[in-house]
Amino acid sequence: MEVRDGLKYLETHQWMREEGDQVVIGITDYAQTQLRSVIFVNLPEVGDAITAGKPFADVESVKVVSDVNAPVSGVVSAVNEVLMDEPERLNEAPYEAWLIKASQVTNTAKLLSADEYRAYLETL
Amino acid sequence: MKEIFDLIVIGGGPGGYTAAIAAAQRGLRAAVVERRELGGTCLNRGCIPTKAMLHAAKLLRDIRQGARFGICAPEAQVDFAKLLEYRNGTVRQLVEGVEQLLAANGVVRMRGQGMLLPDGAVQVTEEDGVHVAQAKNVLLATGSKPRMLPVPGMDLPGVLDSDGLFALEALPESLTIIGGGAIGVEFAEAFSALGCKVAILEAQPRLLPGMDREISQNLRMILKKRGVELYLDAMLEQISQEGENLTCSFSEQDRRARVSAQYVLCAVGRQSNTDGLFASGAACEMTRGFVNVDAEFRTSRPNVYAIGDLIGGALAHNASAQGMSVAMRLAGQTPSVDLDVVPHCVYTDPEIASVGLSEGDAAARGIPVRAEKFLMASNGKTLIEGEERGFIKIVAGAADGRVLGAQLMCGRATDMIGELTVAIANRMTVEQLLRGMRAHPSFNEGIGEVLEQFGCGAIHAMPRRGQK
Repeated sequence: MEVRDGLKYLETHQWMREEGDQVVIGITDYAQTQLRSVIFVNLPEVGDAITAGKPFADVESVKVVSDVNAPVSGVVSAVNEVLMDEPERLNEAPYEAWLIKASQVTNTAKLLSADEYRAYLETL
Repeated sequence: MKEIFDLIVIGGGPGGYTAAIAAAQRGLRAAVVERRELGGTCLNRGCIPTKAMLHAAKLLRDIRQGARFGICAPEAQVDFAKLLEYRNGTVRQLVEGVEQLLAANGVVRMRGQGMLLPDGAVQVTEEDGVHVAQAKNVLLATGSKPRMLPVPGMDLPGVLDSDGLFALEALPESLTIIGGGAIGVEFAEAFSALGCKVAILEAQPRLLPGMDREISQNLRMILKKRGVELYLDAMLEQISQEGENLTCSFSEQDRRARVSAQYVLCAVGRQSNTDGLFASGAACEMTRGFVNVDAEFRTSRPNVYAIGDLIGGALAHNASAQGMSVAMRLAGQTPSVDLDVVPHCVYTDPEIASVGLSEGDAAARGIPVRAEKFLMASNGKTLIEGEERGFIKIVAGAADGRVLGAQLMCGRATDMIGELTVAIANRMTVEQLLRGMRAHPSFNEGIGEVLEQFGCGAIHAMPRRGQK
């Protein structure tokens, strides 16, 4: 179970990093193992608003649809088009296959460091 | 001709011949003027030949993937000459069928160019002479033709419209398709399955830009998986000859790019066909080349009607429904079909079909709706037939549960859309649609499942997971 250093984490199994005035959001290795084989990713459009704690995307495995909740509020500034063609990248490289970038970020949920997230995973 | 017809139809395509037969069935004396083959674009240069090629293409794909069903024939080959024989033979059979139907219903067939005269009569220019036919009513149904782009190089040999592509007698090695709408994606699907290397250039950010976003995304993923190159947000700048090939130069978002192929297909849309239709002083009011009509398809000229691609759009069943409507009114009947509820089908694999409002449409119009989706991966028939990712979405009014739209991308979508078109035309609610039991195992069951999502959930869908 990889937890990558240098990223921030949420208890809802997203990772986040800052990139200038944007944040880059993805799902963790733990999340992708829970999802099993991803076959489709429903991403928002650039310009859509996202609300902390509410779903902003969903991920389909063969039979199950799982919501991905937003760790922050803000506006979608980019979506990862690679996932539209190769959704399985989420399983292969969860820390490279980011889902969205967001700007005008407010309302950040409680962020964990890599170590804190590792510790949290132990409790599950 | 001394007699005065009740109805002369100029144009023997699906709109025209339907109107003529419907009129004759209701006791009206009708004639059809057609200078080419009956059946128009649809039978001869559109729907039928395309779907025949798609059928052969799907058959080849299914056979080549047959090992997963225990049917092993990896040596399956394309005999393009035989494929054309099948395609052209099917077209010929249907054209003959229309000829027989017209004759059997007593509709007079005039073989020549029809032209509307200022007094409302119709001049017919046949091989052996010109004559004038009189009618109480004239219906213009001359359809449409492919539109080319005003881009340098569009007139190079090898740059084809859909008519030209159908005339090819050998399978192209490679093909660049300008336009990612229904026509472009269908040709991409057919030709790439048969072994041609295909690239699509689409100016909008997604394929099938008029349809629900998820359809675009699902199709994009599947076409890419099948080896079709996709260039979206791509504006064609010019076409040039480079040796044996044609190179399309385009701007894609913020960069310039090029793609080369043996042939280029321009599939950006169609324009109305009014060639030789109006004598001087006899033209109807038009907007951007399309004939203006009122709600009952009357043009600006008395007793002259117009339908089909000539008034806008490019859909055979829409033209037929309009033709039927005009004929019924002329016979004193109230038309049956709701002309505002029009299904759209794209014959990719899986098939695509939609009718009514998408979620996006509803949002743009400020209509509060609820949309539910069922993934066909949970449907037995879908699994049996090894279909790619498919889904059925239904959009219903938030307040009253009335079905306002449906978007399907799955097996048999083009056959299932009828149920939902009927539901919308009859203003039915989700609950009313649930009264019907759907057979098992069928693709159609998927409709029942998505309807259940509006209640307590589809039986065969795993409960949706919130982020843990």
